[in-house]
Amino acid sequence: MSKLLPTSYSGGIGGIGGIGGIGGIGGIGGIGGIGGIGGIGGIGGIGGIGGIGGIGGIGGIGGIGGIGGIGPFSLITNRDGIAGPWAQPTDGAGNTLRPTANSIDDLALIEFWDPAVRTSLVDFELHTNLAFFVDTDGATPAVSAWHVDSSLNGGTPTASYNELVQFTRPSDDIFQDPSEDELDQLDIVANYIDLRPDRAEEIVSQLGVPIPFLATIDFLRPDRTPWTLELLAAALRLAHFVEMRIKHALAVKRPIEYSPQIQPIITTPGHGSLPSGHATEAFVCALVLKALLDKSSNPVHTHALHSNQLLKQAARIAINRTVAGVHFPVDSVAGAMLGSTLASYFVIRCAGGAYDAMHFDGSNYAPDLDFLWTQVFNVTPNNDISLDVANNNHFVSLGPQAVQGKESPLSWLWEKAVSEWE
Amino acid sequence: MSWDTEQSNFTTNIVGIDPRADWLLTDSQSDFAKNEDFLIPFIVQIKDDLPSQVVGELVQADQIYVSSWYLTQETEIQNKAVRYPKPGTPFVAYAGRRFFELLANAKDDKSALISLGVDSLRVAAKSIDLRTPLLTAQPAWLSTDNSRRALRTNAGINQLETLDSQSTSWPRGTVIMAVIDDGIPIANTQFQNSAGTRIEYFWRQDGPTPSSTVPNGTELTKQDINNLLLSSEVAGVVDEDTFYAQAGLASYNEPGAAHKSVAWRASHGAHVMDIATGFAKEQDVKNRPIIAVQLPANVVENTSGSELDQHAIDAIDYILQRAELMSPNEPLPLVINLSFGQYSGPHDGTSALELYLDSIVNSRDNTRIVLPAGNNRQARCHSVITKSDFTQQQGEVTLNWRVQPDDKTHSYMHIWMPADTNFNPPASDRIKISVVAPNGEQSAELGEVLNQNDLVYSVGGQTVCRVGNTFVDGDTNRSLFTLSMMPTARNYNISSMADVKPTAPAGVWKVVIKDINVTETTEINCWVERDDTAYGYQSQGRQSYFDDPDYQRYDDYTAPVEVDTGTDSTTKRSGTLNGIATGDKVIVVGGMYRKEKSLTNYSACGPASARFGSAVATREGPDLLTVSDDSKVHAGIPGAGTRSGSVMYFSGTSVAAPRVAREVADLLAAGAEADRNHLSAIVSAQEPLDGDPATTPAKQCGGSGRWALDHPHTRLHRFDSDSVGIT
Repeated sequence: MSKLLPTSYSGGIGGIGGIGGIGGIGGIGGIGGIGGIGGIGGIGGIGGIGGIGGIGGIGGIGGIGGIGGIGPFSLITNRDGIAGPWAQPTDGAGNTLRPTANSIDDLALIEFWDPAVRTSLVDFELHTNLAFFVDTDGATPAVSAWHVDSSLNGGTPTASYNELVQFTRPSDDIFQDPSEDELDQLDIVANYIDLRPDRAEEIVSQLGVPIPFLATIDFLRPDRTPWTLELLAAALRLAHFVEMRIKHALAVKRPIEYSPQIQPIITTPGHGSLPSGHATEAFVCALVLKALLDKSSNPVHTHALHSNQLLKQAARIAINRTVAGVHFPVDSVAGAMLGSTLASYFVIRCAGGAYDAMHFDGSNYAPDLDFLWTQVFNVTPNNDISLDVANNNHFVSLGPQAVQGKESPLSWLWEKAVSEWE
Repeated sequence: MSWDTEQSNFTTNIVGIDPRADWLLTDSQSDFAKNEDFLIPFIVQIKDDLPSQVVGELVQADQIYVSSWYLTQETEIQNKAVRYPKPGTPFVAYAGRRFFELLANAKDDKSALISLGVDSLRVAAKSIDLRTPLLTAQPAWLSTDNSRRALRTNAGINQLETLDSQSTSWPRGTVIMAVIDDGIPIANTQFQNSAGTRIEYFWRQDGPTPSSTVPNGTELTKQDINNLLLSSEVAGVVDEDTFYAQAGLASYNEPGAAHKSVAWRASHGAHVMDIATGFAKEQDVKNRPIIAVQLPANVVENTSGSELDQHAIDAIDYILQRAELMSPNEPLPLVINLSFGQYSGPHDGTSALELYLDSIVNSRDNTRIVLPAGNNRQARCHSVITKSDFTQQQGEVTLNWRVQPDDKTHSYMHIWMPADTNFNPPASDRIKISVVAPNGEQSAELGEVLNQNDLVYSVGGQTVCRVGNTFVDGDTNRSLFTLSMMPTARNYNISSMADVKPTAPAGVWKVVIKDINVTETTEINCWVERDDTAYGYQSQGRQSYFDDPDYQRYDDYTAPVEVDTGTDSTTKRSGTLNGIATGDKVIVVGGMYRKEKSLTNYSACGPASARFGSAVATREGPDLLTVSDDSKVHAGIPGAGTRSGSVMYFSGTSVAAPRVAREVADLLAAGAEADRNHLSAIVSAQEPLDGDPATTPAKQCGGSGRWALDHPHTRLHRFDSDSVGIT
């Protein structure tokens, strides 16, 4: 007896043309790609789907394309005209003048290197301190990622390992139970189809990185918070690096492989379903941002309402992937756990401290369990956020892992980002 | 493909049964037709004590199921206590196909007939009009397992649990607002005050985990809702997604992929309830408590309304019972808003639901029911045939019933003969009808006189169209022709050709009506039943309509024609009033534009028909109009979305009705009558709004006039507010 008038029409989805170039990390906008580490990446997306350059980076700062693009030939002829005969600057006593040498491995220089170089330095720091193992000895294979602490002692390198995350793949029965009467993960995906018309526009907007959506909660802009954005990009690259290795190892099939009727409304990505990349990335960003803003001088940022919004935003992005038909709810739960653990780890790599290593035990995941962020996380009135291990059998804590704080490009970047909020 | 005739079993042998009974119980391919154990809800109305007691016995014998709250009378039969329903008031019963076969077969067996009380049993049976895709099973909440049956029987065990009366003392001017709708957002802060929720009782009729206090579905009391609000809080803020998941209203791990309206950003119920009784929490409103009922999703989805009546009756009975709990000693004023409607029906106030609605208003003080006028003025679903049409067409008028391709639901058309003491029931024919299929095959003729065979059209040996005649007795006393059509498309997956079900051919079905004995005063009303898609639901049906070449949709300058011009077309924009809103006591509201202050192009119009025994209809059309759109180009008015703080725009007479319901509550609180007459007096005193009588809409469409009420929440509109003068 009534007609709804949508306040936003499908015109927003008109940007679908952009999907072709969404490479994300590793795609046309990705690391090493054209304009990847030089482009504005996710931030460019404020205003639409255009900026789905992916985790390429924030290189807009300084990424101005060289010395104004003046070619070598002009510089040759110009030098001929102005350099004159070879002479070296000397002091009054005939000694040549020269600049003071740089110190070895001086962090203060980082600020002056090219942003693409900084990206490499940060990634080297993060990625070379990880190890990955697949253990097929037990009843169910477990895949795990570890933090490696290494040092050179008297010329001989030594390493110690702290577990970071462990994953046990859920049994196939929870995705599609042999009995059609049992409610399983695939049934939940089918139930969510009903929500597609309501979420379609968001789903397309959220195809890329979560930064534009977090930027509606906190004042993130390349000119205003360039270091925060660079930090978040580093966290995203870490997430991508780890999640892809786990996805490959677990090789969980996507909903589309279980039924020809799911018919997702976006292309099913070409990597394993669990853990959900979007969930991992959304929660990594949300929780790194939260840790950063815990140091803010603005009391609005340290109130629990603020972290609520960050978590709810990450959760919505994760759930939208189930609505789209490309993920199971368990993928989002696993991704939330991975994202939150990586966020803790990332912050501790920046500033020292301890993180809780976590095991996602898929064998304990009930087939009819949906993803609800309030069931996954605890938020205290003091604004502390933690995984609700007590009420989730599939979350197993492997105990706190202490990591030595040390100065590195990462800690340098962290301090720079913190200063943007003080 | 061919026409044939076939004796009808149920409509011939069971007096007063729904005219579609044969279609529903045999042809329709519904689960109910195929499986004896599947139960359907239907309405029963019994005039006398004796057969009523028989029903009580049938209930005890598990032949039919009636929830204990209808079994208010008690007697002793063969030393056993038997509870039975009160005669004269309709109640809702559930039965399987077997029960109807029993009734039909008892026709020739007089003793069985009497023992069943069939002589005065009026059964208005409706069916579940199932979508053909995916859902080939009964809705899960209507399952037949014994634990559910037990809730519906009164065999001395497992009666419905009764709740305690409240000892609340209500402030002066308290009026209970009751809303029956879809997707009701019980966590929205618009329905809260400083003490928590204002919703005293909430019934979700298709909740999968049944409560013991209602015959089906789940009930949540104020305490339940407040507890859920607390337990969904994270760091002092209610997470509404968590709330609705925990309340079971939007859980995606519920079996059966039913539509969850409240999971969407907007829902019909959120908007309607906000207009009717939404207040910002800070206003701390304590004198507008709410009772809300959410209809089953399959009922809302079935826009033909064939499942609505019985659930509406259950809902209103529930509301009355809970209202009594709220104030047992001094009944509180009560306003009920039911923003639903259908196209067909006798349109004289005598359908089972209409009589029930009238009886509720009559039997309880300060109780008002508000309904929308309908949005189908331009739908081409109403045709009127009179003697002059026959004269112009050489005694035969043809209606082109265009049935759309890709229509995945059943389509219906009804031809209502007028009430006439000489045809009560008809001993001779006033008309005969025959039907021509799209491929040109014509059926035999069918007249008004009863006990003639139905006309049936088959494809591949299965009936796809059935045309039957009945006489609807009780208060109606009118002949009715019912045309029932299979879907023209199906969306199913088959594993063998045996799974293939018949579809009707799409196109124009010509209904040829022949004048046999039509007089100058005979007015024959034909309605196509509604078949569109409710907001948020997957579209399945496509609206069939009368495609008359003389009907003028656009004028010579290509502007749409909004009101009937004097053409020769039998298809009319008049007489499109909501088929459940032609009763005497209900308040019926049409829509107008806020800016232009004119009737909207869709708002449905009367007249209603005079009922048997009366010369004049009790209403000409809706009672009044109020705002349903900001302007002709700014459609809709703002109202709450499902989530607190959200705003959505909805249009339609569905959102006009609750605005009036809100005003009616204020009037009742002030001790005023607030009935149809009172409201008519208010609006007619204001007409004409701008001093120009030409702007007042015709009574058939605008009732007594326009109530240009301001929006309950905002004075901000989407156009320059130089058009003030809003009250």
